[in-house]
Amino acid sequence: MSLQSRHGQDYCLSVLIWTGATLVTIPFIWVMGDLLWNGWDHLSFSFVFSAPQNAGREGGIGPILISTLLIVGICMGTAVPMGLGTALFLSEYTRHDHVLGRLIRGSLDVLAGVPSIVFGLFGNALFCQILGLGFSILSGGLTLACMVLPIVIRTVEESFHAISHEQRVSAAALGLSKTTTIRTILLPAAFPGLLVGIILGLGRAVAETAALIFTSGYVARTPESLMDSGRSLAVHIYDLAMNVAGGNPHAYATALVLVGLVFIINFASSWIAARWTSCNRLSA
Amino acid sequence: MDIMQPPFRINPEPNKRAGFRAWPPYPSAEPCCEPITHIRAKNLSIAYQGHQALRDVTLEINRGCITALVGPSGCGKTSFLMSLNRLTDLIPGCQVSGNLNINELDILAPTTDLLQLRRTVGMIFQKPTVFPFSIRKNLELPLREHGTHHRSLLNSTIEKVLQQVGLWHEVKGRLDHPAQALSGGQQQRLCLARALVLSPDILLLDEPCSALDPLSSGIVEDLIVSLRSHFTVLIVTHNLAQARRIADHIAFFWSFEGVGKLVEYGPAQAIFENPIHELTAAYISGTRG
Repeated sequence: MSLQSRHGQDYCLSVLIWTGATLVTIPFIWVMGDLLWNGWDHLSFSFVFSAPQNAGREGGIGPILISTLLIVGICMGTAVPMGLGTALFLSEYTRHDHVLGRLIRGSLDVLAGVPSIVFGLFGNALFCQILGLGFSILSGGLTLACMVLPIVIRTVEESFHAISHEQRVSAAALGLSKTTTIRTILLPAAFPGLLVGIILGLGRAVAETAALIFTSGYVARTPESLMDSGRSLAVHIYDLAMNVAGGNPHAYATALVLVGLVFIINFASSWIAARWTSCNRLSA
Repeated sequence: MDIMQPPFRINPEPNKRAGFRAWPPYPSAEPCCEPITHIRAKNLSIAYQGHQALRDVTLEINRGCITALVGPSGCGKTSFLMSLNRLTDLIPGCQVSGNLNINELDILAPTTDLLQLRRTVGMIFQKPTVFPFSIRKNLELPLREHGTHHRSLLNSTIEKVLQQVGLWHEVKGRLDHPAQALSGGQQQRLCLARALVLSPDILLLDEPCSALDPLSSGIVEDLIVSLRSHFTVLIVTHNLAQARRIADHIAFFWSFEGVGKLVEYGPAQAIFENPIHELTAAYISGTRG
């Protein structure tokens, strides 16, 4: 092959890669542009904190924001400790090829691929009916926890696997107990991975609609307890866009708040991870 | 300077090394080896997933000696070393059989307190394995784990061990800096200090100089020599010149069709000058291995 044709090949490959990368950013810019274009005018301090009126065509999203935060809080408050425990079990207490470990990993992979509507039906049957929690923020949060658990577990497990085996062996050689090794060496090292798991889980939880319609319900007033029904931001957007004539402007504004929330969570987590890493490196 | 001296032995008299007033801290006592058996292995065999890695090793190691385990890769030297502090327990499918004693303690007994055993038997690995936090915390962690919490005692012990490994003057102003910022040789000496902090009786060194540059290697080697008579030292090394320089006894291992066996064991001088087994002679002369 001549030098010229090899240069030509390189050029074509570069163009292909650049085109692909550019195309990927177009939907993101489009979505953000569309949201800002249609939603920015309706976004205000009072919109974020006041109660909806006239089925959401007027007023704001205050109670819905509170319900969303409560649902997501319950979801992560349940999923993170359980996920961390399971990830520790899989990576530190079972061999990689152990039958139980393989069974759990296989189940998690299947769970991760289950459509959210199925989780909604499962949550409705288990939490709302069998456990008698009814349509409530608690039911919604717990259903979402089941949904994000596979993501949290697999991400955290990977971050435990990324810690070199030599660290564990040298800890054992110093007569450190397993608990001390996990607490002082493995958990701090896996913390950035845990944050990634939390971000991914939060992203899925905060954007969920189908699973919540069946479990936490539609009610748009401020919840008085966790046993009250509550409407999440994603459900509110769905309702305004699909069921309420003239609800589109507020649907856009709500979507803008939702995306802003996801951005804030992502940036905060990245900031904490960066600070954690630099603190550990400098003065731990 | 003796022309036969290997070039990386930068200072044959480390006590006179510039910058280290009393270094190494342990004046090497003569004779180094008390003829008291410290470690006794009888018919020790190690298998991984049913595959024999080491068979029927019987030897007695004297207190205070430096014993070098030499031989080609894959002949079970490291496995033997790891069985002494039961790190073999961490390897899935590893089975150790036979008898292994430190003084009267039966190492392989299921009732043996592993945390206490590993406190008595310190170990250094080929690659320096400092933990990803500060120099101080690296040394404090094992101390706290084994019951020392008093701040002044922690500080004095840390200073003592860092002086023992000749690191005190290099790091005393930055004890709270990350240990991973140290050079390879300094990290290895910190690992040694971390093992010494628990006042072990026995030190297991698995090729402690092989990942270091010649200069650092020389410093660590001087340090090992200074430990003679204060600790029972077992060192795995592929560096025959190093074994010849530092060891009192040599255990020569060889792999027979994939199974490691102890071929010859005895005083270093005898092994190097009058090896009994022809394999030992061939390995030492460089014609095999």
